Amino acid sequence: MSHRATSRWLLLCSLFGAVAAWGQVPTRRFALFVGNNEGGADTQALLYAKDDAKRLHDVFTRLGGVRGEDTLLLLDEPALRLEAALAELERHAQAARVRGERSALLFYYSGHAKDGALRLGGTTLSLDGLKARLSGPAFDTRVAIFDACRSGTVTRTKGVRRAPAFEVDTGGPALASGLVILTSSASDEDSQESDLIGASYFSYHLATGLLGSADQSGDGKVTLAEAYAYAYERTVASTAESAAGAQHPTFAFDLKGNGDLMLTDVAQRNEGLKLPASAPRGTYFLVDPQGVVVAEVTKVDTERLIALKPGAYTVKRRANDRLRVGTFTIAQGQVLTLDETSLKDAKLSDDPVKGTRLRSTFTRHVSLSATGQYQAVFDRPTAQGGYFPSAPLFGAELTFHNLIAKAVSLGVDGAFGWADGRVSSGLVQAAAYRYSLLSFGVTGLYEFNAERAWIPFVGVRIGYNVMRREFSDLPVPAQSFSVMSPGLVAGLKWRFARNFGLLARGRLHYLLYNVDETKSLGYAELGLLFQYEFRE
Amino acid sequence: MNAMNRTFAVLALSLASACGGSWSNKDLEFLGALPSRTELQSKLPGLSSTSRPLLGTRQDELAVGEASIAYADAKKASGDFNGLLDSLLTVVDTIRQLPPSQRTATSRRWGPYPDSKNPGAEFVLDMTQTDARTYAYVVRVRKAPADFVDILLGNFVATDQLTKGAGQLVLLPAAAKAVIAVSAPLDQLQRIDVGYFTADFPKRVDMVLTFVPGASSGLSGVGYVYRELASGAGAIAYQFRSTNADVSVADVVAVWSPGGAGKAAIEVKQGRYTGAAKAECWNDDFKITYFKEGWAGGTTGGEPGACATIEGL
Repeated sequence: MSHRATSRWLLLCSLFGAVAAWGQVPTRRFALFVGNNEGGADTQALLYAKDDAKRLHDVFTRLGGVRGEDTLLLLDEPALRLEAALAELERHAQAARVRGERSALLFYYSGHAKDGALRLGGTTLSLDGLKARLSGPAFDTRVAIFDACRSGTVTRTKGVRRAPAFEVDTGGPALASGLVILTSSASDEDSQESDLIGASYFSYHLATGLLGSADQSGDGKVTLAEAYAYAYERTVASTAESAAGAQHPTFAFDLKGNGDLMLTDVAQRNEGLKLPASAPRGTYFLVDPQGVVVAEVTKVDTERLIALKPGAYTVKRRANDRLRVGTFTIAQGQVLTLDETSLKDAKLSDDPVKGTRLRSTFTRHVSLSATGQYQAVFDRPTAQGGYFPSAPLFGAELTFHNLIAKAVSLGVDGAFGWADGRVSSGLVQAAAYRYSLLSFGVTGLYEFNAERAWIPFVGVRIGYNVMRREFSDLPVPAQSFSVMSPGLVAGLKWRFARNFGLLARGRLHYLLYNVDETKSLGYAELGLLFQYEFRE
Repeated sequence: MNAMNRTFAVLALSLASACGGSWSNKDLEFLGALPSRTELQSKLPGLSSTSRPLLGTRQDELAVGEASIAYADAKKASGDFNGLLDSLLTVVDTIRQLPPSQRTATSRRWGPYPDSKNPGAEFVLDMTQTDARTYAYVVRVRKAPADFVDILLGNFVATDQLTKGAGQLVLLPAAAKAVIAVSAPLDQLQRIDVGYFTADFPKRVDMVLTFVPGASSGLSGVGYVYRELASGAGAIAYQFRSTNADVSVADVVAVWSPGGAGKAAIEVKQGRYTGAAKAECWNDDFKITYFKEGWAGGTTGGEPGACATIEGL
């Protein structure tokens, strides 16, 4: 560790040692996690704010000593709901105080902040007002974490520091009380999200650190000082080369007291992956089955425990000329020690995490597709008394990718089809007709592995079909029928170039006929689409 | 509910209300049982009708190679026949273009629909399937709140093929006149009775016109009989009437081949030439090939063998 890093570490320990209340004496912990992708007018929707909140919520409820009934997770909720949640936790803290317990609050926010206010959808919450409330006496200790653009604004008035420049105040009583604020960026910086990791840089590194990566002391506990130092270094490093420039987390404190502030107890659950001291140095990436990097661990000489949920994982270590890749499964209550020799060599080009993913997939963008499909109606042939014939259709689709959330898309489509046929009914024998069909629809889709070349997708669709038939040898007028038709969609997309894709798709729709009789019919559509994605 | 939610709600309701339509196999059966122009119209080929008189006013002599007067008169009669059919079927065709307003397993109702040509009037067509092959229908009209008045009655018995069969319909212009405006020449008619048989060839359409008492034409009734073969050959029989004292009433039977060549037989029933008869044949160009005037002083031209041979009518 360099002299500068050692100095920063000591300073951090001194600083955060002031909030000893978290962990050393009977303290009831409360936590409020807020995530909101929308910031209202004149803001661009975020993609991962809610995921960030869910990720931190998961970490703290598993490892942070926060009881389930004492934690609240607010996703896409307005400011009023946030204030109500705070009030609810304040009441709980008051009850704890009556019981003689101390109280501590962890407040986490990921979303938009602008013009001195948090932006929660179409509602706002004054940062000064929130800070004043957090500074109040409801809780003995408060830790507030803001992951938002220019969130450093909230720390600018007092005690703000852009680490690693610290001031030290180690005086005060043994039982600390007060407020610590961490922000993801300085007051003049954007907080950046990454499509590659599917999160904001700061929250991702903070969460990863809390799983054990930040346990600098190796004692199985991650303190606020360790977590912040880890998140700071990784955030700055991750964003240094970004177009928006380096992002610098900040902190501020207004505390009295002394001691250490433990945020997560990695060893408490006795569940996860242990990197033994004998494991080679380097950065290990732990990837879940969805391809999400749940932890990055920089292994040095000491053993390191990473608290992972039970499940299957891929572990990868990048060497100079190759990758070392393997898989493992964590069972409930199991600490698995990694046997590095069980990992296999792989080409750098086969990196399951870095380099093969297509960036910008999780940005909002539009695609346009030309479609050709065949609609097969689940009905008797019209020549045997059925109502609707099967027919080929040709059309176009416009899809808004990641519109609602990442990998969740909304598409609108239109198609036209036609066929010639004959209808028989009663004494009407094989009357010739020309059939035409106009089909419109709105589809909600979820794309699996949307960052990869092969992308399965499923969804639901509401279609509106306008059908018409004209008779050539019967003296009767043309007939028409229109109907809304709900259905399911599934398919596979092959992105064979950055902006081009081929899709094979199936639809299954319900069709209600109600003229001669009420009859539940349906139809299936099998189609091919040629798609162009408008994205950089 | 914000504006977007309201918009979606309105859109959803609009689309939901736009569901449904006229897509009905059973409607095809009802509609197919109604008479159609193409099935019933006379299809005498060739030139449009002329106003040349058949007999009596002609001053020059008939001559082979000249335009056939008998053909021209048959063409005019065919046009009159079709015109009267149009008067009948216009009512049916107007309704046919509209969707039924009520459906049961054995009936359809169209209307009441407003009559665009008669403000305040509305009409309705009720059609019933009385057995697997038999349909009956009635068109009624009224000016609310008055009761509906029957103006057209019909029935049809189908064969194995729906549009082929035997039917009857009666148009009641006099009844309609009490409710809506009726134009000439229907305003002179008490009723038009039509019977038709289209199940096999020769197809047949009979039409009888009954005039109202004291009609300006001075007539009490006129009849047409039309026949048609699968080949396109056809025949029409009708009664010729004029104010000419020589030939005031004559029975005419005109027969034609698919190509247009034909012949007509005329027999004078009233007038100075009562009992006289005339035969005239024409070719595909509607020029006289043979004629014979069967009265004293009458002339003959051409050879009978020059007349077209038409059988089966």
